[in-house]
Amino acid sequence: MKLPLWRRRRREEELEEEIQSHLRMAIRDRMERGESAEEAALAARREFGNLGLVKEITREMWGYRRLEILLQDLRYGARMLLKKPSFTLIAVLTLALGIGANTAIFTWLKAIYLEPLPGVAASRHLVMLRSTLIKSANSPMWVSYPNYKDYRDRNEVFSGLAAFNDLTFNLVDGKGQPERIWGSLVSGNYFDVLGVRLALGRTFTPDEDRAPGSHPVVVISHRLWQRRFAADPSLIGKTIRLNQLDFTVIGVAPEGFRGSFVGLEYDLWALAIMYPQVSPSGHHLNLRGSHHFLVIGRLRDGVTFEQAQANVQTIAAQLAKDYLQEDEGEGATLITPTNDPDGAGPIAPSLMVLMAAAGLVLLIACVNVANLLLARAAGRSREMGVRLALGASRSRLVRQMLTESLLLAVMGGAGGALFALWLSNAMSLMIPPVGYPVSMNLAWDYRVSGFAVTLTFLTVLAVGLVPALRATKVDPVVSIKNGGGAIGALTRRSRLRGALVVTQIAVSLVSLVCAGLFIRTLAQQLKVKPGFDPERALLVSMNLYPNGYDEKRGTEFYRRLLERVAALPGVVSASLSDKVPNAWSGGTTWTHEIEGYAPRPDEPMDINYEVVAPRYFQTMRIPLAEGREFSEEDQAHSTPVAIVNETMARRYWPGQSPVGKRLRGGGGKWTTIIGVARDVKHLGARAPVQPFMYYPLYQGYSARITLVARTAGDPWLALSGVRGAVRALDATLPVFDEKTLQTHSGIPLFLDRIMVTFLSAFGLLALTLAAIGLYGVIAYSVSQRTREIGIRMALGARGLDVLKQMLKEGMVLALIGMAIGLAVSFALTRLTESLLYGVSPTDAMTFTLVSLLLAAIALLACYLPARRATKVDPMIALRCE
Amino acid sequence: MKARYQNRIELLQGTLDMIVLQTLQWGPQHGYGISQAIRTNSSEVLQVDTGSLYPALHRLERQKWISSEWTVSENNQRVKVYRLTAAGKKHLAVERSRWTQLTEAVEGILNPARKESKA
Repeated sequence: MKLPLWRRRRREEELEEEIQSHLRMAIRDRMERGESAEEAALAARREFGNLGLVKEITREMWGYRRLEILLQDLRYGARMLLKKPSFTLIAVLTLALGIGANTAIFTWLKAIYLEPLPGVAASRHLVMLRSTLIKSANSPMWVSYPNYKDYRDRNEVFSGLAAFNDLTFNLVDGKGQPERIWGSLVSGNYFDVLGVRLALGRTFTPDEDRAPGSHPVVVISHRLWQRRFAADPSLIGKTIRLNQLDFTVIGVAPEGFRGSFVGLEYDLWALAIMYPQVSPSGHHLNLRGSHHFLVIGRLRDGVTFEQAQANVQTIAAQLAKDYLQEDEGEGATLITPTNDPDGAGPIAPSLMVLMAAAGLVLLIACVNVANLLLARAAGRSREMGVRLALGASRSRLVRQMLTESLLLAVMGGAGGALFALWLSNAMSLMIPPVGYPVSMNLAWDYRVSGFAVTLTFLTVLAVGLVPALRATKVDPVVSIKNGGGAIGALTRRSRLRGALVVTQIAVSLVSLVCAGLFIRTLAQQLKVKPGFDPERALLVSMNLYPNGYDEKRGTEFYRRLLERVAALPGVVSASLSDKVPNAWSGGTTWTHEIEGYAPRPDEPMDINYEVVAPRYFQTMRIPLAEGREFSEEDQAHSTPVAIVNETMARRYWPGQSPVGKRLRGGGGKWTTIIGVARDVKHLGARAPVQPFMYYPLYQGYSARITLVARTAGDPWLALSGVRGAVRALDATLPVFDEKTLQTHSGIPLFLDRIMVTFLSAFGLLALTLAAIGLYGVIAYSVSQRTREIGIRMALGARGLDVLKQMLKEGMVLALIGMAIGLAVSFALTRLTESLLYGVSPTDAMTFTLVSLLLAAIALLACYLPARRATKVDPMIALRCE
Repeated sequence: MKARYQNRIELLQGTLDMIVLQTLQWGPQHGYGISQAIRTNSSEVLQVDTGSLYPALHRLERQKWISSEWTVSENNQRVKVYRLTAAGKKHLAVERSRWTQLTEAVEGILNPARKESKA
């Protein structure tokens, strides 16, 4: 039963009056018995007992005490915290950093693990089906559309199996300039399999999915509908022009649906059977050997992942037999969407390491705040003693101190939330322009709030409980008399603080070792020469296909574009490539046949290649080891030519020159090798160099192209000139992915950079907090032992002896912490092994340097307060107590 | 410190409630009067701690076994007077029979010989 406030006030007054009247009557009785007025008053009061306690217990009878106590504690806590603003600020900031860092990284992990495909129903029942090469350890491939249809019709384990790919469209209608839009070609059942209900309109009908090329219908994203079409509901049924073709808009996807690649966002969905109409690669639709689609399926109720895996492998074996030519040697495998390599899933392990590091930071932050509270509790033992003597219960005091921690943690949590928003934003800004529509759902939702709130409350317990229990364990008599704690309590408390500092040092050592390992990983990779000169070059991409270019017109466009760009002021040379090195993706592969080379029966002959224009090697500054590079004369009607890299030369023509030798790719024409290029790290420093080839653009047309312009000065200065050159040739051609070659070649390192940035920040934060902790302990110890030090100095000890003793005290703690930290690091860092490069998880140099750094900081943190001990004047020290 | 108070309250809880109700059976009374009455009626053996009495009074009032009102005493003082309710009377009867059972049982345990001789 809770009483309203006004009735409560009334009750309070009545109780007071009732007690007063009791006392008056008692006094009167005593006076009638002959006692003097003072005697009577004193005796009555004594007889009545503890007035405050009687009131408090009586009040508790009314049932709303708990709330009142909480309010009281909050008020009291707030007052205590305001009294020590610097303490409060440090504690709140520390907790905010810890909670914020964890929450920010949780937001990312949530986007990948808890909500890999936003807007999709029950995504944990979805799996990706991929083809594999049984004899090769290469990462699983995409699936051909004919094979997809067989998997769809033959399997017994999926309630539905859908295919999709990704593709860019050139959209002219709606608001704004012509724009390149990322879209997806999908099987007719796509939205049903994903369990997506459209916000507007309908999905594809089975009829539309049957007749190839005859149904240009499209579903657009909610985002695109709003951005370009002003959320006009009458858009349904109207046509929009995409890649020179009129598509009827039949539906609008629900808000939040982004397609079926984890961490990427798409805006259009059209039918896969329209592939030939919208893409130059469209003829691959019905080629069983062309792996152009990803396949996603929903497991039937009760079917396990393993059963499904076995079923698709059986089907793959049948297909390999049925279609010997295309499918021989192929298997199949299932992957969860989160683990699929064509999405953001692969960054999850790195995020886990960051999460662990952030966890360590929070741990140190908690220890630090606990330590501060402990130190303060020491100063409050007199207050606690008085309150206990006045009849406060211990649980009441513990509750009250926890309320103070709660206040701190809630403020820290609120600060942490702000910090998390900023941090998770900063992290998305660190994502480089990879050329894909990267987009994670980093929105603050109930899960993030839940995480932050849980963390905050765990923090309250971690931070407040031990100090609260310690602080209230005082003997009132001793504490009031001494004004401090009893000696026993004092040593107990300082021992506890010592243990906390040891923990801090151990934990900060672990996080510094982690940071060190990743710094070395990044440094090792930066040392690796990419094989080209990344400085001072501009990249601009375009896609000719949507604007209706055929090979002849496209090639002409390229020649004229290169002429114009090469003539721009500031441009040294220019060329074109379908795939500039260090691209995020593995690139295009052909199975090659090499004249005079007999592969082993199980040897994969898939070789990645890049299609480039003349002067490419000159522009990229990739040195040629032998032969010449492509020229204007290497064109459609001349001898087919190619350039190979050194690794390829060594593998297939060991000890001899490949120039003049012949090979052919994909069963095409025999091609003569005219040059050998030095190796280029096409997939970043980590990936070992594989055999690689270059074909001339004018013999092997590509509609999707990237222009490379080598500049004399700042590459960005050339951008407007390049844009102007494109516009002069075709005003309706959008250019995109403008970036410097430097940025582009840094893409494979972006995760390492994020790791280094965050781990270093976390590590330094941990180090600072640990140093503060150590400083605090020694400073406290010095202040408590002023008298002892005074006596020793009076007896002839020198300042240096005192300094040594205090330093020893601190360094013992530091060394114990470091020993524990080193042991933990040895055990834990191997978990990060797969993320490291060029450095062992127990790298001696990292461990040594970090230990030295930590030792030096610890020494400093001890020296500053210890020096104060040597300044103790024996006379003053002895007099002051 | 707290423990001492708590023990006393817990020890007396049921008993004190019953004693208070019993005291109020003779008529409405204020807190001081109740404590004096208990003291007198127990021949000064039981001295009710006010630290227990007022919480008990407020507790009994919440249970609706007693009711209270402010009146003016014979010395012209405003006093809060407690009165036994019908529910309180019923409760007192239950408590009394339980008390009798309890004391007999305890008596039996403490003095088994007398029990035998009775039989």
